Amino acid sequence: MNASHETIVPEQDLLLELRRKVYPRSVSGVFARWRWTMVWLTQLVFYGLPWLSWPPLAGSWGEGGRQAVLFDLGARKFYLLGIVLYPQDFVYLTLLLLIAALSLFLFTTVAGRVWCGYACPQTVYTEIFLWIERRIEGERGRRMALDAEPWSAKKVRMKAAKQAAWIAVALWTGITFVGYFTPIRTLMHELATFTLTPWELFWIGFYAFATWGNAGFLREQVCKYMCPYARFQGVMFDRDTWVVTYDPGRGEPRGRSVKRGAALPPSAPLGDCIDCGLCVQVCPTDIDIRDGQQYECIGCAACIDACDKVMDKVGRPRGLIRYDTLRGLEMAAPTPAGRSGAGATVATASVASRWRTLLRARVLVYSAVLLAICGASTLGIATRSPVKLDVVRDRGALLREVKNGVIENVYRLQVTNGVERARRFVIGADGLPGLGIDSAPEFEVAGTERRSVGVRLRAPPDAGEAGSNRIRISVRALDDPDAVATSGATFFLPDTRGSR
Amino acid sequence: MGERLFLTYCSQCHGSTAAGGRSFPNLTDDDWLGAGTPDYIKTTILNGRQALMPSMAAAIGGGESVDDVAHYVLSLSDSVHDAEAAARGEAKFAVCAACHGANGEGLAAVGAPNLTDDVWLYGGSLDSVKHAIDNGLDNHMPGFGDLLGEGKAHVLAAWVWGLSNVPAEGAGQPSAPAVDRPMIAD
Repeated sequence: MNASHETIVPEQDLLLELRRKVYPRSVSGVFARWRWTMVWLTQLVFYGLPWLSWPPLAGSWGEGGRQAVLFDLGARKFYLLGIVLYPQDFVYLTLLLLIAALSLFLFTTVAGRVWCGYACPQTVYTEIFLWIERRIEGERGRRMALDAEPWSAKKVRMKAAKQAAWIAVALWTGITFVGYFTPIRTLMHELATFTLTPWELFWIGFYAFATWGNAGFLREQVCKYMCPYARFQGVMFDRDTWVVTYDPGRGEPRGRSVKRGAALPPSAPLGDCIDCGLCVQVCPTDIDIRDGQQYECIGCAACIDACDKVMDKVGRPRGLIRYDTLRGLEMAAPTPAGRSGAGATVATASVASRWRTLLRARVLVYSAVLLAICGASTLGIATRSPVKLDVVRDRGALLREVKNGVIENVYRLQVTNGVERARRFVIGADGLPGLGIDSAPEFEVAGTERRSVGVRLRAPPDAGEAGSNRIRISVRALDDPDAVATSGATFFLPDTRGSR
Repeated sequence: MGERLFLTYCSQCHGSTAAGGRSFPNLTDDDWLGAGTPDYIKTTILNGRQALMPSMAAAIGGGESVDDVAHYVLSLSDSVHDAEAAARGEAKFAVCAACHGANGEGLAAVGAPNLTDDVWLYGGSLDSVKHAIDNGLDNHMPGFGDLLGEGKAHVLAAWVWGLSNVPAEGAGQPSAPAVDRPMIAD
């Protein structure tokens, strides 16, 4: 039994890792430019799509115009530019998810966690919120100092300004998100007149709160602990995957006595890494990439940009931290003779292996399957019928005898008109000799609406077998003979044994 | 709304186009076993109805007599029948006339159907008619008063009455909006 008076467990004995706030230093360079390009692209699409109307440049809505991308849950219609999808088209969502998953596998197996580092909303919104934080509170050192200060008027002002900006962005994000489900112009109107519906209010608040919480505070905790993609992306790596990696063969042993611009004698004991620590300072997940591959690394390549700049300053070649495959890294290991010229060898040896990674079986298979599914989805959407038909036959009264012994069966047709204008349809039925339609065969359905139409079919009692007979009922648009939907149905004829 | 109520509660027996079937009356025609007024319909919906015809075999004289009367009944509506048998059956129809009227035109007060028309609720074949005479009929419609309440029954009765009382102009237009007109294409 420990006789110590300490009741608080020392940190190194804790089973969990205490969270330390991460203050990433700002970084600029090739990959930082790529990341910001992705931020702009993704957010332009996300914030911009709800404002598009269809047809493009349509005037005020209600005059044949509507929001281009709208998921009208209440009416169960999903508008994607010119296409209207209904719950029966759910299979396309499945295909979309398949495409998303396969794309993820493909990108990850080729280039590591490019999704995480460049396009993931968590990264994107954290970048935006960090940018705001940097603008208001300053660079890394000043932020750390500010947090360590006691509260003062200045600190309150700065923190309040930052929170206000964050909340504004979060709210706008929430409003935009809900704007995909309720037309965003309607939302604007409701906001201005304080007439938001309870659910709209809830979801705007929920999504804004999630954005504010995830991007403002949780940040790397999501990547490290919460996100399942983080965990299984590592499974998709192999020795030919491009990863953000430090070249210990070139960098070790690290030390600080490299003179600016001085050529490194072959016998010098120090590696290229001058241990400036910048790669650690810019890392948003607070790891040291020099420790090797770690699951926390989201592949944002900030350390690459930071290190390249330092290498420029000390006159060494770039690429001490670089994108490389593990196999390429081995091939670039320095020969026992020494390290001079290692930079050039790294370049030529790894280039071949890097491009070979694109041709390995896994990549080719993913690509082929992805291409096939993309093709199938496109074909499916392009050729889907604009008419949907479901036949619901009467169940209580299976058949009915009318005049002259003719047998009548009654059905209700659920017809969905898939296009956005009203259409007239005509019913057809075949499958039994003498099968005819007794009810009015023509009817009209409004655009994107569904209508239930009663149909009475008649046939002579000897037209087929006693009991059920398979027939086909079709619904065809009058203005387009190719717009037709057919459904199987059954026609009951009486069992003539022991009839009364 | 009347149509939706009908489809929910009534279509199981009366069919989704309300044209009925064997022992389920056709609500789209003018032939009513009773008064056929909106009140009659509403009362039927609320309280149900029982259709009772006693077995007439013994009263007629059984066996061949039933056959004769059946042929006579079919002759009333000019259906296919045996003229000789019908002639014999005419005399024995007297007991039936008590409910069905001297000329077989029915009696709404007791709910006896008109035998001279083409509406055969229980089948219009010779065998069906003989079966009715031999065994009688006992048909029940349950009451929906507890299930629907007075208000819904009222709306439903109005809709059902409208099936057989469509205004002359624009009657049976299938493309008209279904707000105040039965949606059932007719």
